This record gives sequence, C-alpha cells and structure tokens, in this order.
Amino acid sequence: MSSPRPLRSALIVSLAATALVLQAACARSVNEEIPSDPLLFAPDATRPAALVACVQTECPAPWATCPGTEGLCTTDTSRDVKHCGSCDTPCPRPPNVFHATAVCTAATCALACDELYADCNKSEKDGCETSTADDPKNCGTCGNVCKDGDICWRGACGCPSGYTQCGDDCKLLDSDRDNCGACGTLCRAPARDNPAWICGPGTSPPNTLWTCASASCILDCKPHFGNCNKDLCADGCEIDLKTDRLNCGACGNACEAGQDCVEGTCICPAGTTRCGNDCTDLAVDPDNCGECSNPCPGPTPSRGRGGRVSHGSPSCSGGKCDYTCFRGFADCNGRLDDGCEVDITSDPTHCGNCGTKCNAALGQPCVMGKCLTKACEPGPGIF
Amino acid sequence: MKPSIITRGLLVAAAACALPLFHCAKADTTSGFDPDPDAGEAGVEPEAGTFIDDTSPPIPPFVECAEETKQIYVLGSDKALYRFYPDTLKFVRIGTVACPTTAGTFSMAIDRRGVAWVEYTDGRLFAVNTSNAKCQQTLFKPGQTGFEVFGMGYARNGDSANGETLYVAGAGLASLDTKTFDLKFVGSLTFGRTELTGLDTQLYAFSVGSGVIAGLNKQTAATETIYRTAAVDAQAAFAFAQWGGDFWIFTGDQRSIVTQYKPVGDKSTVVVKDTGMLIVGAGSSTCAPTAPTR
Repeated sequence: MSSPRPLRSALIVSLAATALVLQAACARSVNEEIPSDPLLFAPDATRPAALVACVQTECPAPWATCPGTEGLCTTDTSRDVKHCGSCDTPCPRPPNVFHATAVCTAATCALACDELYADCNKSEKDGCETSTADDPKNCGTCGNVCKDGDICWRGACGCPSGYTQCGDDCKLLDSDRDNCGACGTLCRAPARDNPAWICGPGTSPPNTLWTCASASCILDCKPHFGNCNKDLCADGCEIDLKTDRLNCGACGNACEAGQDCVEGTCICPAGTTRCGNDCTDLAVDPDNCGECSNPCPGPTPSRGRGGRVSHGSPSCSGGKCDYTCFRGFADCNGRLDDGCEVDITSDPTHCGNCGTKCNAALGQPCVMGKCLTKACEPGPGIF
Repeated sequence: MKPSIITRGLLVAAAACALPLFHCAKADTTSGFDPDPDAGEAGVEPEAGTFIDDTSPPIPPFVECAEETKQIYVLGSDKALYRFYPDTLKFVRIGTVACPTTAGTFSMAIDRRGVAWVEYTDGRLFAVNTSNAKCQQTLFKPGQTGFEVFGMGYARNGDSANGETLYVAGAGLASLDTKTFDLKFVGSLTFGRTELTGLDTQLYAFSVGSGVIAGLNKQTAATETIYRTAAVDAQAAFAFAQWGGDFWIFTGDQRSIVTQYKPVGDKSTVVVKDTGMLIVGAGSSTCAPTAPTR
C-alpha cells in the first residue's frame, strides 16, 4: 500500500477541482482526471478499467456499526461476544455453575468449558456439568471409565509411571519427604543410634540435610550444594554449585574461559553480553540497547499514557533505540508518550496511513485500512 | 434519495482535497522491519481484502522441509532460539529472537518452511526465521475469541495436498490461519495449560499439570486418546514437540529437563537432566520424522 504524498495530493486536488468545474455539466465521473488512489478509489474488476469506485457507507459483512462502540464498522460480528451475528445479539453469559464462558465464533454463540470440566450430558441447561479431573467414570474426557481400583488423577486413570497411588493421590515415593519409600512414611532425622547417621550419631556435615532419595531417607546434600570430592563426612557438601566455576550446576561441569557461574549456569554464551545476571544481545535488547542498563524510551504495550494500551513498543536494532508501532497502528501525533495511538485499520481520519481521511460528510467508514468504496452506479455519462 | 454521481464525485474529490490540509505525521514509520535483504520475495501472500501494510513481506519463501526443519526448535526464557537434535540430545544456539516488544516469549510453533511462529506474553504473534532468529511482525490481533495467550502446534491436514494447519490451545482449541490471522474456535479442551504438537495428521495436547498427552479430534477438540507421562509439574514452564514418533517434553521452573515419552511401551525417560536454561517454547514442523530414525 502506498503512502499519500503531499505533492501528489496537491496535484490531485488541482486536477480534481478543475475537472469537476469543467465537467460537472457532463456528469462524468472523476476517474479520468483523478489518478487512482488505492485508499479512496478502488478499481472495480467487474467494470471497465477506466471506471472508479464510489463512496460506500454500508459496512461489509461481518463488520457493523453497533450502538455503544466507537467509530464506523468497527464491530466484527463474527466473533464479538457482545454482538454475535448482529449488533443486537449478545451471547448470554453462563452462570458460574456452568463452568464455562461464552464465545462467539463464526457469528454463532458457543460455550467453552473451563479446564477439567466437560459437557458430558449434552444438555444446554447445565453447561459443563462434569468434572473430568477426578471422576473415574469421565476421567479426562466424557465416558472414559477407569478400571476398578484406579483413581482418576488430574484427568487420567491411575498414576503416572514412577508414581504410586496413596489414597486418592499419586506420590513419588523415591523423592517425597512425606511419603518416602512408602505412603505416609516421613523422612526426618532419625534417632541418634540409627545407623543412617553415616558420619556418626547426630553428626550433620556442612550443607547436608535429611532427604528422600531413591526411596530412602538419607543424609545428603542440600539443594544446590555438591559433594564433589566424595568425602561427605570430612567437609560435607563443600561446593556451592550455584557459583563454582569448576562445578557449575553439577560436579565437574567447568565453565569455559571468560564465563562466570551464575545460579548454576555458565554465562554468557558466545555472542551475548552479561548484564547483571542475564545474558543479552546488546544489538537487539530494548532493555539493554547498545550497552547494559540502557532501556529504550517509550510506553510498553501494557503501559500507555493514562493506562491506555500503547500499541507499540520500545525496540532496539543494531544497538540503537527506536520505537516500533505494531502493525495496524501508527504514531500520528508524533508524541512518544502515547505510543502508537491510532488504529489505522479503522480510523476514518487516519485510514491506512496517518492523515488519510475518508469522506466524513458521507459517513465513509475505514475498514481494514481502506476507506470503503463500491462500484459506481450507472448514470448519465457513466459507461 | 441517492446522491447523484456529480454529488458523489464532488464529495469524493473533496475528500481528496482534504488530504494535504492535514499534517501527515510519520506514517507508521517503524511499523515493522525492513525486509531481510536475503529474504527474497514474500512467502506469505495476504488474502484478498486483508489489510496489510507495505512492510511486507513477513517471511521469505523458504523451501518446504529443508533439512533444518526436521529438528526440534526450542525457545529460552532469555529469548534465545535453539535447534535441538533429539538423536544426539544437543542444543545449537541460533541467536536471540529480537521481536519489537518488551514482552516475554510464551510459546512457539514451526511450519514446514522453517518459520517459527512465536507468541509473546502480551498476546502478540511474530514470525521468526529459524535460520537466523530474525523477527517480523504479523497482523495477528491479540485476544481474539478470548484467547489471550496460548500453546501452539501444527498438524498435517487429512488431505495431504492441503498441507498443514496451525492449532492453538488457550480458552479452548482453535485453528489459526497464518495468512488472514483469523482465529477460529474449534471446541473446548478438557485439560488446562496445554501445549500442542502434531504427529502426522494427529494433533496432541500436553498438559503439564497432569502429565497427560491427549490425542485431540481436530474438528471438535474432543479427547480421543490419553497417554500418561511422568512429566508432571504443576508450577513448571513447559514446552512440547513430536520427533521420531516420540514426544519430547521440556519442563522446569528455573532450568528445564527434557523427558522423552514413547507412546509405544508407555515409557517416560528423562534424557537431559539439566539443559542449563529455562525452555518456554518448543516446536517441530510436520517435516520432522514421525517414526524412529534408528
């Protein structure tokens, strides 16, 4: 789509005015004098190429101008839950007990069941009445019956591999401190005379705790610590795996030259730069553009002026800041604080581009970035 | 009474006359990226009547099923794009996805031309070149039909001549046309927090809260088959893709592990205990092998 240019527009104006004055009596259309502008004049393939389209004010389906909405032809009745199929047809909001929300799709209202609920009886009176999370007769989906003795756990019959059924729940007995090795077996420090104290009665080496591993309650390393020298009783779990460059994240995992160990990860990968604890590409990161802690200015999509959505975002390209409008939106007032404030797909004063105006006097809408037009009706002087 | 052709002509001309009287602020000057000089012509043509600005083409016309499209792609929480080779369990970093938004990455699907469709946490959808991580905007309108954020995955259509369809899982199951960017509601999904993938023509959804992989009816969204994996982590970030007839599940809250689930034999195996990153999106195209490769 081409952008209007002032010089070209001025020429159009001159030509159009001259043409209209001279030829009004002939009742000819202006097509021969005003070059076709794709925003105002759309060639009609069904007519001779010389003819142009005229202003259209009726919204093309599925668009409509509905009460209570801004602008002309701004409501898509094929998917608007308040105007589904037509302006006066809202989708009824289902009661909470229906476990569902209303959606409008293909101009028809429908119910979308909440997760883990389903409409198994196919009745519109009770919505999505069945919980498929724990119903052994409708487990995960309507009619999926679990075999005798199996529970329905989170929408599937029985327990996943590695899990064991403990009552109505599934537990990982090899690592669950509350069900260690068997349902209900707690993993806690045992009595001092218990041989599980491998370093002596009541002796807890540095950075160790009682934990459930391989279905046994044992004295082992705290999370993020490693017994890398394999001498637990001498120095416990002596390595902080979060920060040790030679044992980063795991014993023996050494970082490469120039890398640091941060939170158990060697950073930064080639081609990225460390900014704080993050690795980033300074060429494209709008929060660290060109250098660390150099955020690009402008409202983010969720923080426009006055809480409005900005429809654009700070961006960074080649290490230089910019502000990018999302497609279909534009910054027509040149102000950064309100981002890309114009919806050029529907604004008849900025239709397709900033400043491109539809015919306000005739009520010409802007739809999909184009001022609506239609084929000109035959009349005197029209071929 | 209808206006005469003269009147209409005058009004139309008046509208044209009005054009230069208005300040023409920069017209969407940064609304998109310059076409990739290496990209060639547009690979995605807008449908007739679809509004699209002159920053097209969104993506270059890749050849379908190039060798690189046969692997899994994953997206890190740091917006880094990786190619994952399931047969060697290696990750190869491609680059940082530099889409023009400060939002975070949410999910991803890969099409047969090697285009990654990446959704961000603000609901916007971008097209990313999987060979260099370059990003382009799309005309997708966030929030359609109540779908704010969603998982994504491609499945081949029943008629092979008709290619593939992108499905999204959010407030139900929907299909998403990547030419018109219309989202069409299909039906309710039983499982919440799901990611999608395709195994040939079959569409599967993975729910991290339950570890369930559900085979979905593409016309109704009804669950037709249920597999039970051991990848259960209600709080985790997760991603999901098919490769070699198996399902590859990426889960974690700080750093991701990789679980391979074999439907044949109903076996879950943690094949990568620490990827060193948090994976938030994964995708394999329908070019990826659908049976064991060795």
